Amino acid sequence: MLALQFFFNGLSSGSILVLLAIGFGLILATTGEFHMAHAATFVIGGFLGWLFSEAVGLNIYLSMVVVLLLGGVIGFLFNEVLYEPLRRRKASRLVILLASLGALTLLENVMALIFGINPLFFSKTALNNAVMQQPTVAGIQIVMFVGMVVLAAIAYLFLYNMPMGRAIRAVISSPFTSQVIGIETKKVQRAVYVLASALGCVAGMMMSIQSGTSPYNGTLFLINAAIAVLIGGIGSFWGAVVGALLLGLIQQYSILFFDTQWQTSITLLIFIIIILLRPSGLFSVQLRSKGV
Amino acid sequence: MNYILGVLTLILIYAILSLSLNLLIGYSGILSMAHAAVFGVGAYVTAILMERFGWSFIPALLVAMVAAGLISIAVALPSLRVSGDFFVVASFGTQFVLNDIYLNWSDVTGGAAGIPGIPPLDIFGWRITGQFSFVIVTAIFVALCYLAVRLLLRSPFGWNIEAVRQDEVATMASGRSPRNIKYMVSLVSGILAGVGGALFAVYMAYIDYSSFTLEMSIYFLTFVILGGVGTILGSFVGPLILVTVTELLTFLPLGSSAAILQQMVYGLILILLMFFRPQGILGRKL
Repeated sequence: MLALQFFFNGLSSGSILVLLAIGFGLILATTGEFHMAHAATFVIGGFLGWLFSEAVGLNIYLSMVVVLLLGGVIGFLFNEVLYEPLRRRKASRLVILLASLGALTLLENVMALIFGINPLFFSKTALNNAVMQQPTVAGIQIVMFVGMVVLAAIAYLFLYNMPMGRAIRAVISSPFTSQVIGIETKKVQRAVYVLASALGCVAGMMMSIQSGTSPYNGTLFLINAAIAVLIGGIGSFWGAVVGALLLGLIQQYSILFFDTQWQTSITLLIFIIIILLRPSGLFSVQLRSKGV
Repeated sequence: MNYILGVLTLILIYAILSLSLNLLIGYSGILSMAHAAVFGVGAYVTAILMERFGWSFIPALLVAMVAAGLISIAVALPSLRVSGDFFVVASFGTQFVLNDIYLNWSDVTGGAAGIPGIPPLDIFGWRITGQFSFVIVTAIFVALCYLAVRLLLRSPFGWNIEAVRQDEVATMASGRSPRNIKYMVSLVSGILAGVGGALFAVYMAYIDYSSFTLEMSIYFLTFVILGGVGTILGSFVGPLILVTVTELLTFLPLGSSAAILQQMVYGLILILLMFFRPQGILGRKL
């Protein structure tokens, strides 16, 4: 019984990680940029969701769609305001990472300043009520899983069937060759940031529906997602998905043996074991070693 | 007067941390997000040995240095085998894990209550209690750390560090292992952070998890970037400016949002520096 309960909990928390990991992984693979500020997108998603569904009173699903679209706008702005100017200055990867970290610190504190540091809860929605007893499953957990499947499927179809998706994959497999055959790297970078941020923003909103908004919880989720990407293999779509779901499940089942407060330690341990055994990740096609 | 001496002591302790983090970032190009946590290892080890076991400062300091050095290299060993990205993620993870340990392993770290009543600094029986003499002793430690780093960088091994910084591939081609050099740098960096932690513990006389959080890691990072990456002197300028600014901010009537505004300032400083002067005030090209 407990095992089944953990399965459902792991699947829903893993779904959040999947949405974050797909985006973070895409950005890392196409641009080589370690987009720390993705955690801020996640946090902002929670607050935007709260704003639309609680303060404005919009239907919760409609709010999710709005947050998804606004997430795309956030990604566009990240690319145009932060990263593109830095790229033009020929900033090193370390410089970009530090700027991203600065943006994360700035934005999460802007959110804290506007909305306060205490969690805001989604009271108007019935999604937190249980739809199933023993194991107890809340509506939002189902929304998380179904939402993840739908969004991941859309992202997959986009990457594998649309011209822009193909361009993205071309840049991932070889930035140089793709330029030679006339793919505009700038457009690809922009598209990747828009797509990733849309997914990350919705993930943040869904997480906040379950546990309330928080300006500072983004980093922990992002690092979990980053670990999922690295153990799945950078540049591998299925690697990110499977890595994130596995991580979500393992974190839940670890509760059987250890207190919940040691979840992060377990995650790090798994990360270290996997990179020791298979440094290129579980599903990786190739390993590109890039120093930060 | 005591207030100014207190601020000065903090600046000096943070200068040691800045120096040790600068070694990592500036000389081996690896970005650690766990520096506050490693600093915490030094502080907690010192606090526990002195308060619970009645050790005197110097032996406690030595153990703290070893412990912090070991933690630092334990992060580097698996992750640097792969790449810098892995190190960043592993160091974030380490920061979270150590934070969990400080907060939750109550039997040892005192949990949220922390460890109060840490005895004052003593050097072979000579107890240092006055603010002024503490500043002097801290300054001596800073000077020792400074000399140690200088000697290290001037030694043949230091040339290897510089070589890795300038061109990793060429270093490899000349038969040195950049990875081994980076391991050594993270070991030294950890040891220095341990010194900072030990001094912090005896200076504060009370420590809890809140001094060793991710926010503090970012704070230390801002020191290094502001002062200038890859310069020893920059490690002193960064804390000097930033601690002064932070202290001045506390005089403004900001109320409860003071901490938030402080964080916003650090974030903004990082972004602006990356845009307009990535090498920091005194630094070399990043």
